[in-house]
Amino acid sequence: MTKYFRDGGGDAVAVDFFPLDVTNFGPAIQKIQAAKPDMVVSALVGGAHVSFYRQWAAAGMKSRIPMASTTFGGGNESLLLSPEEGDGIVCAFSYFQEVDNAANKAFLEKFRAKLGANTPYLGAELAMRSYTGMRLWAEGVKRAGTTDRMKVIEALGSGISVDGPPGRTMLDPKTNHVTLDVYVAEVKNRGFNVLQHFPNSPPADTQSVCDLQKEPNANRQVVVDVRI
Amino acid sequence: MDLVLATGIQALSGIATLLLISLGLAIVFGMMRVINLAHGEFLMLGAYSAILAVQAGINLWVAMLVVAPLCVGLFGVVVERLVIRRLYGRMVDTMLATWGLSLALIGAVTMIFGNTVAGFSAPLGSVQIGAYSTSGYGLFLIAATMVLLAAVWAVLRFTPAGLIARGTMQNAGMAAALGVPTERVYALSFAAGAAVSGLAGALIAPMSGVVPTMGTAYIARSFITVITGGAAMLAGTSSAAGLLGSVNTLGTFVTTPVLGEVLMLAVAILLLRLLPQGITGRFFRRSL
Repeated sequence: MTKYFRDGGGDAVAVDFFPLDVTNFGPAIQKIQAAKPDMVVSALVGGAHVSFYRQWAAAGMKSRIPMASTTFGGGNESLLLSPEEGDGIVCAFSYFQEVDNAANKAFLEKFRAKLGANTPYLGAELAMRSYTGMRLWAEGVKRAGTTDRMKVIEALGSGISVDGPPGRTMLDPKTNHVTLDVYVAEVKNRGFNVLQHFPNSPPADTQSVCDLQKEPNANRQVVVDVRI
Repeated sequence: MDLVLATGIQALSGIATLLLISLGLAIVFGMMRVINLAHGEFLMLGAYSAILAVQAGINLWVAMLVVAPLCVGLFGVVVERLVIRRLYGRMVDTMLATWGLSLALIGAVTMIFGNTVAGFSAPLGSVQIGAYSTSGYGLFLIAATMVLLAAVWAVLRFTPAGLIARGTMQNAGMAAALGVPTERVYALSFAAGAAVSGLAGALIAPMSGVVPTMGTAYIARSFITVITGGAAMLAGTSSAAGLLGSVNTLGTFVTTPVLGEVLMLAVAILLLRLLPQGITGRFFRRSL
């Protein structure tokens, strides 16, 4: 995050990490008040860390410093918070249920017809990514014409893609990652309001260090260089 | 000046939270020597009862201060009758049974209410202290913890029921010989401990992420507080909460949140090395 801030012309005033079972964010919030940053970016995860957003709102900080998060919504955090606590937090994921396109509309209609009153809220990307992953595999099986493991793997590596509710998802043979659409949304009334759409975003960071076509049997851990 | 005041309030708030989440466990452990590993889930049930009561249209304060302790207290009666009563004096078996209970409760709540429940935000707005602002509800939490502590102390110290409970705690055989129905005293103590845990869970609900597994974030902390406190349940738990809470908060301020946690655990380990019976094993021995 610090790297992306600097790349974008900003700077990080301070960075703090929190153990996963920390529930008291009073000291952190006071530190932020003292540092007076232009914005706060949260990468907090898990039930205990939801406390941060509640204590942030309770301390009256929501109207003073805007907040963005790369993780908020992935675990349906937006459902836990009341609208006055959550509204306005800006998040980025490769899918939100509120994404406005024909494929998503058709998908949600079928989804609701199938599950009726028990239809869960899909929220951010997690459920949709699992669904898309399954469909990518199915595409591989179709192209290979068999479920034989090696043949399916080869088919998956031949550059396949599926069109679905999140947009087009392409499997990148160089990294085994996917090129996909990314959406920026703000939390609104326990759901999301999609603000921006970035089509065909490649997994650029992994592509910069990994090429499985050149090195098909690579078995070392590669680290993306984020030194600033 | 406002920095000192704001930091002081944060430290107090850290202490109060620790005390609040530990008090129910301290009552059950101090009175009955029962190690309740489902304590975290009692907190969770308190939080859920409050949230569901608010969703059903009950006033927020009534939901937190009346409905939650009542629900979890009644649940405590059931648990005592079905599980705890059969295992008195068998500490390891009780731990195993309550651990199973904790897993079952997490599973049951997830099955009934799903992984998420729409919580309510903290009432009372925010309070400005110079350049800092803190939540009014946080201040209320500090006050509520002190009132709760004083209430438990007063009941134990001044009422006949408190006298009987203390007598049973010190020497159950003698109390029984004097005609005290010790089984009922134990049942009521367990229910009281559960009710206090339920109240604590409800009170922290607007400031925490209420999910079925939320108890796991609190259980270790409350055990460390109670064990560090030692035999005297109120004096021990409050002195341990005071020490560990301020070490944690100030450590977090001066260093990082990670080191703040490490420091708190280090102090607890050091204390138990020096005072294996807990703080009240040496100091305030005659207190409650």
